[in-house]
Amino acid sequence: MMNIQFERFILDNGLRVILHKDTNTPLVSVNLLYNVGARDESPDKTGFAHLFEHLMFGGSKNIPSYDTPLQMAGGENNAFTNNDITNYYITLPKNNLETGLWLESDRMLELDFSKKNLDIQKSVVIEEYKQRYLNQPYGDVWLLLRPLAYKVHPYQWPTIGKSIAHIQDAKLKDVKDFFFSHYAPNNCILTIAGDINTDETVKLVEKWFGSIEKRKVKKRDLPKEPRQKKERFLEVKRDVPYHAIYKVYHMPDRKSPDYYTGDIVTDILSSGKSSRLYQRLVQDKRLFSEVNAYITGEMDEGLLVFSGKLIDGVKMEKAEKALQEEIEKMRDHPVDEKELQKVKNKLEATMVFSLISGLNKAMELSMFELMGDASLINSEIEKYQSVHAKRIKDFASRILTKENGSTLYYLSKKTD
Amino acid sequence: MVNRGIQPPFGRIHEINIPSLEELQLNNALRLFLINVPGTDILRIEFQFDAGSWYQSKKLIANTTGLMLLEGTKKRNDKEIAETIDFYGAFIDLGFDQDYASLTLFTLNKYLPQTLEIVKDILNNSSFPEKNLLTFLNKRKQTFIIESQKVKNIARKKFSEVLFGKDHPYGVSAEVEDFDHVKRDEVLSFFQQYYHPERCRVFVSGAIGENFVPFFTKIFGDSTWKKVLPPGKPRFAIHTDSLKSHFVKKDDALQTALRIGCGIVTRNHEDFISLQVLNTILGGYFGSRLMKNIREEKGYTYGIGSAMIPYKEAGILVIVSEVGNEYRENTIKEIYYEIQRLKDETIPEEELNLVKNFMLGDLMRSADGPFQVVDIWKSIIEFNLPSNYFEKSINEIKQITGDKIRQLANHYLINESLIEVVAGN
Repeated sequence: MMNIQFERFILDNGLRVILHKDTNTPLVSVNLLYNVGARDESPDKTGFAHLFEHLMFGGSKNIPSYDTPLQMAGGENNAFTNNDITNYYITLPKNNLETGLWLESDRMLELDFSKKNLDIQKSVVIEEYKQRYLNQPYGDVWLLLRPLAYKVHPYQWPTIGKSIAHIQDAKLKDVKDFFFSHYAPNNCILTIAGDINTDETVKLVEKWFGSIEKRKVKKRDLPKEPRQKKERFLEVKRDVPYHAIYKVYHMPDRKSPDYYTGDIVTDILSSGKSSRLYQRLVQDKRLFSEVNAYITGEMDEGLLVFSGKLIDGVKMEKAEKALQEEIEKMRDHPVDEKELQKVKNKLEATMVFSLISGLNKAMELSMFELMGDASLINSEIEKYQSVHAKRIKDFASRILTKENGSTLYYLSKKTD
Repeated sequence: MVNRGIQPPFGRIHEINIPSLEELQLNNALRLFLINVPGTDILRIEFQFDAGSWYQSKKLIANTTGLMLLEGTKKRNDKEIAETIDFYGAFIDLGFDQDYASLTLFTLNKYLPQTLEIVKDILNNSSFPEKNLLTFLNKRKQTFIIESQKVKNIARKKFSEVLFGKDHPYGVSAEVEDFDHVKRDEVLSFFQQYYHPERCRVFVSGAIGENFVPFFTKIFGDSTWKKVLPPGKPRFAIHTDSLKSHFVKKDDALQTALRIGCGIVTRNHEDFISLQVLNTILGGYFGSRLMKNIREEKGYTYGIGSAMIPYKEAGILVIVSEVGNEYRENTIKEIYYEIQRLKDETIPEEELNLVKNFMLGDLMRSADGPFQVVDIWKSIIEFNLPSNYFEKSINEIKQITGDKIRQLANHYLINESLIEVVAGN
């Protein structure tokens, strides 16, 4: 049983604040989760939420440099963007918490929008696009899979954006519009974790964030992905050494009980060396050099993913057939109790180990608050524990069907 | 109204407390180091062996040994090992580099007997089954071929080779065909020769209970895990290529990988800490000169940084980046400009203060939590440093002057000894 204690309150301007006291560390973690991600972009201006994350470091209304004062106070920070959220985080010595709040509140208030900064960060993001997606073997897989699986919902493009052209075309006006329609106290969750004095921290939060006005946040009204009725298939050839196969299946959203079942199903299949796919497809049959199953775990209806790289010389049809057999076994046979318990224990331990870090605790509390209630963090393990063999079989027969899936053959040019 | 234009008062870090280290030696010569950090129910136990690639007489033998420790013993196959570890919610990480091989167990305290039993079996009875060896080598070979397509790896390989020479353990890299020549008996024999208590240091951190030491001693201190006469440490000469500038062509690459750097001292040298300050200024943090100039002012790259790598027997300082092909020449020019600036100009007081504060904050982060602090103690033991080394580092960072930084830059960053590797189209 998890028992992470915290206090939660809401400022008049709608900022949700979570405070977690942890006396074991001399550091304090400050996490700001903005409820905006790539799913909130318009289809002709993708990559924007992420580009915007870069601009958040270019100075704000009253503070010309974000990083310098933070580093002066011994702090370090970073941020990430995904399809759902944009998350900013800081760790710094606990006595210097106020510097973090000062910096974050000023860039929530208003950014220093400059064309020069925009042009440079566009160039940086274009290099990031090349470095991570285009100049790596298999780097463009998600640029292919997302539009294959989603026809309507904005999960059809990756966080980095559909194309470099979208980043090149970003205008200063778009940037300003994006800020004022998504960055607002009433669209943010602020979590502070560390050896803090709660009363003083409340005062500091009010001091720096209290005067920021509530904003009209663009209402999220995303189209629901229609139920897929026919299996989809795509084949590409690339300059990579080995064939790879990807299979993705639509599954329910993050709040559904199916999320937990899906996570357990993929763990049974591919978590660690005792997993089914590793034992049968890598070790016994030697068809794959690596094979994975996981869920994307996104807020809206996400994907359950299989990916595998084939052993040199193995035919795609043979590898796919063997993978398909393992998928069907999930549907047709109940899982063994001990196998199930093993996976649950491992999930629990993973959570216990990850929540040693103050920063991870701050991030997780923010995520659960986004889902509706930070205290969900304490019932997460029970939700995994409640998944039983019948639910798994039921899940597999609903989700892992041909009509619900898309397959990508990512073929090597060399082994035609 | 609050004044948003002024930074709120902040404190400087004066001291950082790290939990102390207790050392014991078991009868079989195994050295046991305990770092007690109460407050969790978790233990991290790292078994570190002097068994890196430095000690192998044929390529990939040491790597294969170190990374195949979970593949089976005389009693258990790979699946049983993995299932047991998973069942008890534990994790085992295998680490490997030129100097060391390590096995690290993360376990809940309550399952210590069950998980430690598995580790004992692994360290005593690993059998490297032929079938697993084949799968392992095949997988590694495929990964190796994929990784060899990446410009950053092409540049890294060439850089080490140029700096240390192909016959030095820090300079040599595997080639594809090496994966076809690893034999089971060579791996087994490396295991029997190098995985012994007297080559082993165990670092335990987390909530260490009263019974831990007797329990651990009973399992690992007995005569079944025997002491054998260790082979002496081989010596290798460094042969740096006389040609300093190298280009490796990779067709169709959209970006160019750069590596510029040189040999420098390692951790036991008196200048090491001061050089870390120098490195931080140059490229060791987000606000570094290289990041500011090449990313934040010019937009040539997603990231550029410099790092000091303290191997056991040598150290290097290296600048690493991947840049758009069209920015290659300008980036290299700016890198040399920034190096020259460190030599010609004394760093402004404000920038130096910022770097000091940032580094102290970073040391605090590196000492946070029950597991991270192990790395601090490990390097103290590895280089036989005084036990107050961490404290000394803090003081040295606080006291270093701009003149000293400039002096170090002139002494260590000699243009003629900088190696430059470019990999791209």
